[in-house]
Amino acid sequence: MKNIIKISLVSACIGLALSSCQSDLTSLNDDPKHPSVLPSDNLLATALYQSSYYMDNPSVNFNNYRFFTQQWAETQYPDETQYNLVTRNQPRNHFNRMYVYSINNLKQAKMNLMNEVETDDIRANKLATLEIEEIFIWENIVDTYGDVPYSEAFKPDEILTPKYDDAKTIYLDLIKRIDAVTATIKPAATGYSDLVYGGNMTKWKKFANSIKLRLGMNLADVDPALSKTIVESAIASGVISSDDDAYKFKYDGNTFSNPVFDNLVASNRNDFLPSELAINTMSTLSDPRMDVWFTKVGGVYKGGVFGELNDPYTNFSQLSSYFRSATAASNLFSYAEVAFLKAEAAARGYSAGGTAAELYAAAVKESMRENGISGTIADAYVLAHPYNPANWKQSIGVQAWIAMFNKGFASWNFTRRLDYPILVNPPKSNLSSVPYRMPYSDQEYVLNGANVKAAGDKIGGDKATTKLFWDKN
Amino acid sequence: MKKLTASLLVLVLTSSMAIVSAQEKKDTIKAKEIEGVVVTALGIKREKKSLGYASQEIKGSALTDGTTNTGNIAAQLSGKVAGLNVTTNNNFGGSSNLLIRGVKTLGGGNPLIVIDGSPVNNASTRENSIDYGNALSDINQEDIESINVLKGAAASALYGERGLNGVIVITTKNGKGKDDGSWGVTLSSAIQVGFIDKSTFPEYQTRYGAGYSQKFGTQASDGLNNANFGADASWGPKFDPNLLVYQWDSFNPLSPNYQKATPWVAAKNGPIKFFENPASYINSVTLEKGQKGKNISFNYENMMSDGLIPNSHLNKNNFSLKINYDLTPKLHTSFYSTMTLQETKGRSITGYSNNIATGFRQWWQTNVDIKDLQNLYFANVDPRVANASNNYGNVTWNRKSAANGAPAYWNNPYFQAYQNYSSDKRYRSFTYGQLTYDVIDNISVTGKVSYDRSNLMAETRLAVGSLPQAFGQSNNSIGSGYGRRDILQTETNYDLMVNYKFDITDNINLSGVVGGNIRRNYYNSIYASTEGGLIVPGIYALSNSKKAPLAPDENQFTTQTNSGYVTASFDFFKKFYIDGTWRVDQSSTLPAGNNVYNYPSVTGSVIMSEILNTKSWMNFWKLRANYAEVGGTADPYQLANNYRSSGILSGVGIYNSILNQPNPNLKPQRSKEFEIGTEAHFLKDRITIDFAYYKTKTIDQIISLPISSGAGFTAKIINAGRIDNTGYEVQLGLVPVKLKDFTWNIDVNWSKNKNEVVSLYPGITNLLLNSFQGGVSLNARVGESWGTLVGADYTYLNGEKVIDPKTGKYLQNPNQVIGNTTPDWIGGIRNSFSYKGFSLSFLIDMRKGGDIFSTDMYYGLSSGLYKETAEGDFRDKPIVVPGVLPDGTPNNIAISQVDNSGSTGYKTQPAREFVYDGSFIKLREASIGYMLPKSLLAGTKIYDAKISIVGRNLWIIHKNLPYADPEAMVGGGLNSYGWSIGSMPTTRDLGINVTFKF
Repeated sequence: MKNIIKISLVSACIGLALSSCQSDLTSLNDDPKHPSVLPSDNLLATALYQSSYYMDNPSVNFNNYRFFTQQWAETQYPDETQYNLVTRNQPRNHFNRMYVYSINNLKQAKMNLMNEVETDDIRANKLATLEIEEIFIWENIVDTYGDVPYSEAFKPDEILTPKYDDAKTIYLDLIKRIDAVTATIKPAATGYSDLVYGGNMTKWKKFANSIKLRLGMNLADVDPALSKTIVESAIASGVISSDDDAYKFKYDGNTFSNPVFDNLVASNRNDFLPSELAINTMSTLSDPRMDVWFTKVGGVYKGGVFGELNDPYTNFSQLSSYFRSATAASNLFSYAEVAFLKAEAAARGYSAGGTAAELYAAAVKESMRENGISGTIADAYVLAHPYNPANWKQSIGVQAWIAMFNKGFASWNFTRRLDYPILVNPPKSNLSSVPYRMPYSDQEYVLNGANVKAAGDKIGGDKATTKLFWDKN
Repeated sequence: MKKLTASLLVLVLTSSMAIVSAQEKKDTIKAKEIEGVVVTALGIKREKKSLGYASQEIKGSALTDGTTNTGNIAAQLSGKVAGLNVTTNNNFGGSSNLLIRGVKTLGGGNPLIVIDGSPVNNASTRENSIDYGNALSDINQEDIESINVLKGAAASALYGERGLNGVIVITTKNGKGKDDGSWGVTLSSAIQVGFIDKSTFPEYQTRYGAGYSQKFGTQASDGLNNANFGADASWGPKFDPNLLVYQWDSFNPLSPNYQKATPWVAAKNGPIKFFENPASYINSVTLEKGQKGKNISFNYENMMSDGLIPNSHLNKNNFSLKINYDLTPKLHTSFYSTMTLQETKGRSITGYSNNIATGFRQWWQTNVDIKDLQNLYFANVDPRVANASNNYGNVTWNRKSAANGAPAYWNNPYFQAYQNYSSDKRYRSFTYGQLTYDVIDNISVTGKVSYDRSNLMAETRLAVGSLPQAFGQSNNSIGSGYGRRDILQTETNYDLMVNYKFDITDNINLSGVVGGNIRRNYYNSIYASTEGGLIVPGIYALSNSKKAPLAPDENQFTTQTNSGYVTASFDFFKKFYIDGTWRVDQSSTLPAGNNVYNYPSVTGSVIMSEILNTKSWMNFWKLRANYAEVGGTADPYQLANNYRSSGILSGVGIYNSILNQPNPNLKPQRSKEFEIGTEAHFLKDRITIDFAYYKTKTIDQIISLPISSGAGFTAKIINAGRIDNTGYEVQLGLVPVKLKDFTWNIDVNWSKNKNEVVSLYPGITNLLLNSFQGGVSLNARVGESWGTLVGADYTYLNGEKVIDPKTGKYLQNPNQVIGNTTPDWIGGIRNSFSYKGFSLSFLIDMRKGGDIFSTDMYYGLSSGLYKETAEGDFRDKPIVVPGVLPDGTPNNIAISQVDNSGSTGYKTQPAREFVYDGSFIKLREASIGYMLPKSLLAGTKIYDAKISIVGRNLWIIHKNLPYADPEAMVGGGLNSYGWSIGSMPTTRDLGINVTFKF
């Protein structure tokens, strides 16, 4: 009996010890080295970096836009120019970068901002910055995949398998969000000292209207009336009007370098070449930008055959040092693009602030200027290759495609809308035509199967060759 | 004969031993072990016959005597325990993975290692693709008296969550001096050498050289061809001794072929000549004195090893001391401390990138002679000539072009080995002190503190002149750099236990323990690296950084678990036994409210041989059954976000994104196991058999559940999932012959575990565990065994492989189940013979099943390295691959073979083709020993002398995986299942051991 008492005493002691250190114990689980809440500035910076770096990335593992537009060819491993989008999981990688690494940080930033001490005007501007950046990423996602998770997205506590929303519905909502957010901007006050516009809210506003211009123009073939309204209202509200307004994400070349530099220089690999299509198209036009962009081999420009082995790489023209700077910015919405969008608007009969021919000339000259070509040479070039109203899609399409060289995503919107230059599916292609969209992430079939299957069925099959809702011709 | 002993002595003494004062030879009697007593959880000694659960004891000698010393006791358990699956890779100083009764948790899981009742760390560390081994390799093999493997939850329930995957209980030796009270001295010495087993390395084709297609890409100004230097493949032009070609070595001024075109022929010396014969020297001395109650033992061991790769070396020194001292007849003390100091250079790089073996197995040119690479490396690395123009000695076969000698994809392997080597220094100590007081006859109180500490300082180097690669904290691609990581890990356990023992009646006894434990784990690491390259070549220091280094990456956690437990064991008439245990844990890593959890176990056994009185033919028969539950906690910091800096851009901090959504409402996970078994001994132990059947169910697992990225995270930390394991274990012991001077023993271990992932989370049927290079992943998939390999399969039509009519190649069907890494069964058979002083034993170790995906074959067959890619006219004319067109008619479309997008390898065949059955049969251990007769030693100071010749992995009797060892996986943990990539070849190890006792 004595022993039983002893045993119960010991048990009681242990019990006491357990209950007394409850709060002390759980505080051990607070990480002393890493914050659990970040200032919204840093979340915005992280989202800006992630979205810019991966929208602009030429790596075979990510967006592959430069191959979708056939501007670049490959050397020893032509799998991606043969449109193999399976082995390297490009659809998954881009999807994750945009949702998880980019937008989710903006969503968190919006929540954190509400708890940060700030004047109302600055808070409004900061919120507007987060919102515009978010809309910009949504535009990339919708124009890459088509229908995507939107209304049920970013609700991880309630919905682990978000449904896919109709792409046009998302388009209309994004346009509505642009109109709403631009109205909240207080141009007199600052916002974040952000990595793109340094808190210049006038520029953020112009950028927001430019996204609206992009969206509106994409609607041209599917809903011409709506397209006209949106494009005209965007231009009227003020879009990017100089290179100074362009959306440029700048790298320091130290920890963070331009993705093209990373893939051409830092990697020490020689995987990419300018395509034969790019070089031949530009050669025919005697395009002065070739001297800036490409090296010669044996005294001539020679592009790599798209979708074929181009080995050894030394037999071909290379992308010149122009594309090999670690500190070059990712120019994801250039003034040249806006200029071409306006030219196209005019060509379609919208009111865009000039005739199609004038705006075409201005756009080509802006691209020349952007690439360091003198005004005289640019003028001569425009004279030699004037706007052709009879085949304006070709005029604008080919010139926009050249101007958007190394701006893969912007270029892809033009080629899909205007169908110029004519992109030929390479003989060894894994697809039945050139790609018009990115297929859905393979992981969605495992993690969100019912919804992704329904989305695929709705759009006419989850294939790279299925056209987006706005891509009618 | 005297001469022989003398020369053996020289051998021992030259191996730098401590000088020992030998004693006069006296007869000794070894302290007799109490028959049938085993050490169970918490160091509690129990009669084995009373246990209601399966456990299996291995004596120290059975671990060490039959084999070469691997430096890692875990490896030497292979084939010796039913239900224990050991996977040992060939990495230098690398890890051995232990798995008891199958995978119970979705993330894998290792058994807990316990030394004399106190848990020690056995984590496998793999960083920057380097396998730093598992911490059990720090344990000195000479210290081990026995290992008892507690397989089931009931056996290990007292260890709580950490016993979930079984427990390996190591008991250290106590000092046993001579009868006259003087010191006993044991010296032992071993020399071991390894020879490559050629079945574990590629056989290269000898008909085609460098290139991705059968033409020379460029010509020199004299019109002769340049080799396709930049192509890291051998699908190039056909060899022709009359054809002169400028090759990789035609451009280096120090090369005998400088500015010369040389005949286009296959290399005389292939990559296998790169490897060296690994050698190890192991010497130890043990001093011991005393008897039960008062004894001391001191051991020192030194191990020096050289690895397969040039410039790899390991030096390990281990000191251990154990003292047992009874201060009074009632007050007992024990102290044990072991310290390991280890320095290693040139550990194997694992995985795809930067791994020399991956190059040899996947990306190589058959025209390149490895000896030429060696000569040109040594000629060019000389400081008098090394400079930027010769890449500081990195004169590689894979130059970018005739004009550009920079490496395209691969460094010169000698440059890689001698310049880009890693090195690390490790300190490990494990110490405990224990005090036991016998309060009254029936009750004793034990207090114990144990402390396990390890420090690892690991350095990685990338020499100026190297191929740029992702390096350092930013992970940016760069051509030179230096990084170091310092890790400190400690575990402290405080134990208080009350042992009790009562006779309720003469025939009914009760015994047990009431106790408490506080466990605290601490981890602290810091990693720093240069950025942007090194300023001065050869200086590996953070301050030699070209760009400003990032702030070092720090990680730290402290976790604590407080526990209390009670056990009670009833013994009825020595015929029936019933045990119960109950434990409560409180964990720091779960949220308040969910962090206290408790769990019971009940076991019972019946000694049927006593009841049925079968002793005439069956001297022992026991039936046993048990049920147990075990709770488990979470890893630290799963409840809230933690942001990591990735650097500062234009004055703003950029952070890593949160990929796993934390969960503030986590609950403990839980495992339930039911087991029955029987043990029978026939004909006075000439035949012994032990059989166990178990069923384990693990639920509410804490996992990082992948979710749709549309939700904003790639995964969510959640309690979910259930895994069931069902299995059988058989141990069979036979003594076919037992004569006065001759004995033959056979020991058989066999086990089969069936594993099923029953559920994950509503709506989720697959959990990604690991992704392999080559588009294959390791998964837990509902309805299948853990370890499903998922990747592209063929498309089938009525069982025939379907061909794409457009290309003539196979139509691939992605995301299919193409294999499973879980073996069907494992087993081992040991035969041992002894005749007078001679002993002979060998162990056959087997595994049936367990699929392996070979990234080496996936790429290597495409790059044209292997001999099957160049047999007959295989590359000379188009090939029609076997299969049918989508309409069912036989394939008639020929594929051109002129380049590597022909008919073999990853470009043509789905990943399914490169999944191999991982079965093997190996002659794991073999030894011949000779104990010198006492008569021969008379007059010397030696009273015991033994010499043995031992071998390990002498013969892979059967395997299906081509050119590699099916056991040689990437590293420990998840990296030890089902993926063969760039593994080192396996060596047949031979050694000589001599042991003297004075």
